[in-house]
Amino acid sequence: MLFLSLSIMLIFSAILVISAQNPVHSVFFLVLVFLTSAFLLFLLEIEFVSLLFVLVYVGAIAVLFLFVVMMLDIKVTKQEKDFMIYLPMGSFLGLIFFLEIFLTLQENFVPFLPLDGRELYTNWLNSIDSLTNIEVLGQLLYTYYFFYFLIAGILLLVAMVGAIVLTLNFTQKAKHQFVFKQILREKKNSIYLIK
Amino acid sequence: MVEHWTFNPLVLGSNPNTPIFFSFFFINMEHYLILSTILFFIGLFGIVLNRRNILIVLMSIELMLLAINLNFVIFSNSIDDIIGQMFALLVLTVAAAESAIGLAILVIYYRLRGNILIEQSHLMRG
Repeated sequence: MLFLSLSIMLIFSAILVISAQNPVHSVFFLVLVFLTSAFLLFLLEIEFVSLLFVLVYVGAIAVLFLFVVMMLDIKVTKQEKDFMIYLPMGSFLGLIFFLEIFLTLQENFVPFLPLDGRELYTNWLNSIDSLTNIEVLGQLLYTYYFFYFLIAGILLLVAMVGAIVLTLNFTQKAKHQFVFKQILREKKNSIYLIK
Repeated sequence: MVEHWTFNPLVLGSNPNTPIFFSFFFINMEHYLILSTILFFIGLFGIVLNRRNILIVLMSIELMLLAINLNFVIFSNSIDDIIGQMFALLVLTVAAAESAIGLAILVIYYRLRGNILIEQSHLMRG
């Protein structure tokens, strides 16, 4: 039941992202999509990745979108009739593409075949060690896959430098301080007696 | 037999001892995968059927990356392999970096053109 209501809300919000008139409303529905997908991941008992979705997707990416939407002058245009020209063919092709994947998903996946009465779900909580999601990721990310972790850091650094270099505008006049001029000030240069 | 209470739909769907009133219908992994596929195609439609501004394209790309992330995490949950969630972490990093660069390019585009309409972007000017 919870899954059904969340999935309906997710699809509804996603359709409204691409079809809302006001772009600010689009960003709001994008935030709603991110939060709903994080909640869906909570149902699977994956709590770290879910909260990470909230932190990174909502806290960084959606905030970036909000900043850009606030800065730019985006004209709210009405629904033009050009939209209907591509809709029949586009949705037909999309439906074919979607049906391909849907029919592929109809096959059975191996872990769900009941093989000789074995349990389909291993109750890891009754094992000797019980690890949370963070601990499992931490045991792998910093030991066996540390290279990917470092590469991700370099990737973020490059993205940050790139974003700053792209949008830096040197023609704006900013007030600078000339420190050497401030130091060279002497009493005989700065104080005048006027009769 | 599951000895610990859980709302995990993939567990409830596969356990024959779950009482029927406890879950609305038995959810398999395929339901989650279909959801993620629908999300991916909504993002794809957002790029193709976009007639307004370029910001919708960037948001649709974020939707597609979110669908792929969900796909990785769902498979990782059903196969009991943590590498899916690790790859989802890295895809998250790439999505953040790519959206930052894309928005920076959009800001420059706006600075040069004065608007971000799709209809005027096909005119090749200097």
